[in-house]
Amino acid sequence: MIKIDNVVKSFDDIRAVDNVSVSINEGIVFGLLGTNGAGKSTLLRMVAGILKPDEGSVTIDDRKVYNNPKAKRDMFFVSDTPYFFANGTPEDMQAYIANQYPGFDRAKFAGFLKTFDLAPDRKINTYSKGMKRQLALLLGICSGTKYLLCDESFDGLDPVMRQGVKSIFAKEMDERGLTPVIASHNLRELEDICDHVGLLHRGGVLLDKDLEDMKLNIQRAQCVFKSEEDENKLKEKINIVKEDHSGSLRTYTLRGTREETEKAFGEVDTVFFEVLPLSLEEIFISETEVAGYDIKKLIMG
Amino acid sequence: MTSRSSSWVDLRENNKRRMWQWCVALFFFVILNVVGFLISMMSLNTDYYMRTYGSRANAMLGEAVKGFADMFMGVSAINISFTIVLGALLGIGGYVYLDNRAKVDFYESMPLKKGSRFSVIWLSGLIIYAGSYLIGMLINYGILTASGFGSVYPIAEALRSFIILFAFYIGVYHLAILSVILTGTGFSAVCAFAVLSLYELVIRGITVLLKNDFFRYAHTIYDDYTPLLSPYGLLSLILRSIADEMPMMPQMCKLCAFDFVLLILCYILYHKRPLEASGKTLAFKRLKGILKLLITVPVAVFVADLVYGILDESSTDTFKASVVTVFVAILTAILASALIQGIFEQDIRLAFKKKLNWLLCSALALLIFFGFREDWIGLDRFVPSPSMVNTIAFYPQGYDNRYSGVDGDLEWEDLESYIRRNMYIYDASTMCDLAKLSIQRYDAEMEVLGEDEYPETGMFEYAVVYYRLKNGHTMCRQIQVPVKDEAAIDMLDKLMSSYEFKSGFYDMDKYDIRTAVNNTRMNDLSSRYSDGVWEESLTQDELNDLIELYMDDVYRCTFKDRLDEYPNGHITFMLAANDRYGRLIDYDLPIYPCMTGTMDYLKAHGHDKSTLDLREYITGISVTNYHNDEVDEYYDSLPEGEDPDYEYLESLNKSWYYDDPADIDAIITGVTSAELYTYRWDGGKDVDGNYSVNIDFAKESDISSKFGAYAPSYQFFKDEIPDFVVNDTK
Repeated sequence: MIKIDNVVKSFDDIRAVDNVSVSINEGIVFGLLGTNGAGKSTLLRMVAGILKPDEGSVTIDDRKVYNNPKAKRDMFFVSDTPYFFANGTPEDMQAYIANQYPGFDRAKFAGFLKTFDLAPDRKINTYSKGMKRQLALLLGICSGTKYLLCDESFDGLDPVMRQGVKSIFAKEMDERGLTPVIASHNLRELEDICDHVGLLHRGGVLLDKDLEDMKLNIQRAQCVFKSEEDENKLKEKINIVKEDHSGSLRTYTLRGTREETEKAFGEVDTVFFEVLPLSLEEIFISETEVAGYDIKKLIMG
Repeated sequence: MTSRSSSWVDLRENNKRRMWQWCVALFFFVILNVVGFLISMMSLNTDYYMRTYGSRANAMLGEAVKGFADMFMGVSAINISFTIVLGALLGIGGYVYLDNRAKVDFYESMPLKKGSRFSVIWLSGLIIYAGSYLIGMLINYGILTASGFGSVYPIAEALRSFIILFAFYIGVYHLAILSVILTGTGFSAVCAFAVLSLYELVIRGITVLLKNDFFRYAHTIYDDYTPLLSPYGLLSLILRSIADEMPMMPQMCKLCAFDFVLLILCYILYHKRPLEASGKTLAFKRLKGILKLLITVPVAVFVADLVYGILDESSTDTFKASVVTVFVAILTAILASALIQGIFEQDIRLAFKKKLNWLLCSALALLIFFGFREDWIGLDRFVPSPSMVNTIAFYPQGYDNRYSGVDGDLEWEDLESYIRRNMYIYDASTMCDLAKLSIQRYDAEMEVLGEDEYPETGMFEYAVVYYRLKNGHTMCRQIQVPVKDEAAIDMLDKLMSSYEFKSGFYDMDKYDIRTAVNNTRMNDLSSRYSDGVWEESLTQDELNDLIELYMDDVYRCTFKDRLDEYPNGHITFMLAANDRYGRLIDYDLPIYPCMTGTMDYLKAHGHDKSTLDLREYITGISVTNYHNDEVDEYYDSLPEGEDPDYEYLESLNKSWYYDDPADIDAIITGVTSAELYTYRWDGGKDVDGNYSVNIDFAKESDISSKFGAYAPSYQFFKDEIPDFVVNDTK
C-alpha cells in the first residue's frame, strides 16, 4: 500500500501540496485528478521518491520511499515528459532499466514493441510524441514493479492506443497485481479505468473515494408526481443532493443504492418514475457541488 | 544495496552516455597531443645537430627531445589547458542532468541511492580523463622509445606529471561539479564555474590594487596573487616547488586535501540540493544574499578605486574626489546588486527588489574602500613585535649592484625570490627596530616634502623585508632605509654583517658561480680583472681560486668596513651557454680594499694593475662639469609643454683641459673609473655625478695601443674635487 500521510511540499512561497493524506491500496487503479497546478505531479514525484516532502511522509509498503532503493524497486515512474537517452533506442533504454529493475521482463517488452509496432533499434528521437509515451508506459509495465506511477501519461495517445494500454493494465493487474496510479487533469480519461479517485485542488485533497462506492451510492431519478403531497412524502424518504424542475418533471440526484431509491419511489404515487445511470462526470459534479466547488471549472474545462 | 556488478553496469552505462565527452578527451590527449609530439619529433634535424655540435650532438638532441616531451607529456601549458577544459566539461557535463526536470524525474526515480548515483558519475569523469591521458601518454612514450630517446625522459617523470595533472584535474572537476550543484541551469553553472575559478584571484588582485594605491609601504609579491583555495593556485605552488628544486609533496598534499574537502562538500550538497531547483539560477535560496554580497562589494570597491584614482590624479581637491567616489560606489553597488537580482529572478523587471541589499553592499564597499584609503587598522605601518617573528629575509635592492644571478640549473633567477627562499635572519629585534626607524624617518621627511616630492637622492634607500611570522604567515613590506642615519647604519651593520644575511644574499654566487664556471655546458668562459679601464685576463684556475677567496672576503668584511671604501676594481666573467638557447651569463664582483685575500692574490699573480698607476703615459685630462643641479632646476621651472632651450642647457656644461703635470697628479688621486659602480645602496663613498673626467694617453704608448688614446669613463669621488677644478669649471 502507498501511504501518503500529511504531506506538505512548498516551492519558494508556493505551497504546492498542502497536508495531503491519501492511501492507495494494492490491486486497484488509482486516479489522481486535478487541474493544472493542483499538485498532482508534485505529489506523484514525492511518491516516486524524486522530491523530499517538507513535512509528512510517503511510504510504500511501510518503507519510506525517498532515497530508498528497496522501496523504489517496487514502483516505476512514468513522467509527463518522459526522458530517453540522446540517440538512444528502445533496446538501449531496456538495457539501462533492466539493470535497475531486476524484474524487468525482456520477452514481454519485445512482444509489446511488436504489438505496438515500435522498432526496437530505431532511435527514439525519431518517434512521435505518442510513440514516446507508449514506449515510456511499456518500459514501466515491463519493469515488473508493483506500482506504476503515470503522470499525464495518456495525453497524446490516440484512442486505440489508449485502449490497448488500458487492456494491458487490466491484464497486468489480473496476472501480477499491478497497481497503476494515474494522474490526469481530465476526468473523462480516467472514467473507464479507475477504481478509486483522489481529487486534488490547490494542493489539498478535495475528494478521495472508491468509484464503485460513488456509483452505487448516488442515483439520478426522474419522475412526475400525481400530487404535491406525494412529492413531499418522497422527499422525507430520500437524501437529495440536487433537484431540478422542468414543468411537472422532477429530476433528483440523490444518495442511496438503486434498490433503496426504487423502493422509496414505489411507496409514493407517481405518474412515471425512472432511475437513470450517472456518468463519472455527473457523479463528480454532484459530489463537488456539495463541497461548494464547480467541478466543470476544475477538471473539465 | 547495489551489487558490485550492478555498479559496474551503471558505470558502463554512464560512460556510454558520455561518449561525446570521451571523444573530446581523446581528441585532446590522443589526437592533438600525440600528433603535436610526432610533428615535433619529426622536425628534429639530426644532420644539423651532427654538423653543428659534433660529439655533443647527441646530448643536444636529447635536450631538444626532453623539451618536446616536457611539452606533451609533462605539466606544460598545453596539458594544463586541456585539463582545465576537460575538468569543466566533464564536471558540468556529468551532473548537468540536475538542471533538466525530465532527466531528474528519470534518474532520481530509479532505485539507486543518491550516493551511488553521485559516485558513478564522479568516477566516470575520472576514468574519462585518466583513460584518455594515459592512452596518449603511452603512445607518446612509444614514439619516444622507438626514436631511441627513451632514456631522455623516464616513464617515472611522465607518470609524476600525470599524477600532478590528475590531482589538479580533480580540483577543477570538483569546482565544476560544485557549480552545477549550486545552480539550476547550464548557463548559470558555467558562470558559477568562472566565479569559483577566478574569485580568489580577483579579490587578491583588488586587495593588491588598493594596497598599492593607498599604502606607502606595501610590497607586492607573487604570493599575493596566488589563490590558496583554488586548484590553479595550488598547481602554481607545486610547479614553483619543482622549479625551485624544493620538495613538492607539501604542496601536493595541500592540493589533495583541497580536492578531498571539495569532494565532501559536493557530496553533501548533492544530497541536500532540492531537485526542484531545475531551471532556477541558484539551487539554494539562502545563497542568494551571500552571493550578491560577495560579488557586488568587490565590484563596487574596484570601480570606486578606479574613479578615485582618476579624480585624485586630475584634481587636488581630495574632498570632492571622495564625494564623487562615494556616489559612484553606491551607484555601482545598486546596479550590480540589481543585475544579480535580475539574473537570480530570471526577470529583469524584478531586478530592483531587495533594496536592503543595496544598503548593505554599498556600506560594506565604502567601508572597505575607505578602510584601505585611511588605513584604519594600521596595516600599512604595522611592524610586528619581535616575539611574533620567527625569521626575517631582508633584501636591500641594488646593494653591491646585485639584482639577479643564476640558480643551480644555471637559469637566471631574480635575487629577491632567491633571498625570500634562502635568507633566515634570526635577529628580529634589530630588523623590526630598523623598520620602525625607517618608517618614522621617511614619514617625517614626506610630511615636510608633501606627497608629490621625493627625498634627496641617497638619503633613503629601498629595501624589502619579509617577516616570517610564528603563526605560519609571511608578511612583506617595503621600507625606505635612512642610510645616512647613524642609528640606521649601526642596525644595518649588525644585520648585513651577519652570517645569516650574507649566506642568503651571496650563497647564490658562492655555490652557483662555481657550478656555472665548471659546468660542461658553459664551454665559452672569458674572465678578467679590471679597474674599469685596464683589463687583465684570468685563467679558469685563477678564477676558481679568486671566487673562493672573494667569498671568504665577503664573509669577513663588515657592512661598515665597506662603507668608507670604494672598489679598486672588479672581477668580471662571462659564460656562454652552449645549449640550444645560447644564453650568455655575466658576473661582476666588485673588490673593495678591505678584501685583502682577493687583493693579495691578484697582486701575487700580477693582476693588480690600474690605469691610474701608469702615470707616465697620461698626457692630459679634460674635466666637464655638467651642473646637473642647475639643469634640474631649469627643467623644474620650465612651463609644461614648452620646448627646452638647448643652447642654454649646452652653455651649462663647463669643460677644462689640464696638461700641467701637477694638475694631473692632483686630479688622478681623486678619480675612479665610473664603470665600477653604477649605484651605491649603502650610502657609502660615492662618485660625483656632476663631473666627467677624460684621460688622454701618450699616442705611442702600450696603453693607447691596447685601450685607445683616451679613457672617457672617470669620475671624481664626492667631496674630493680639487678646488682649482671646481673654480675652472664653474
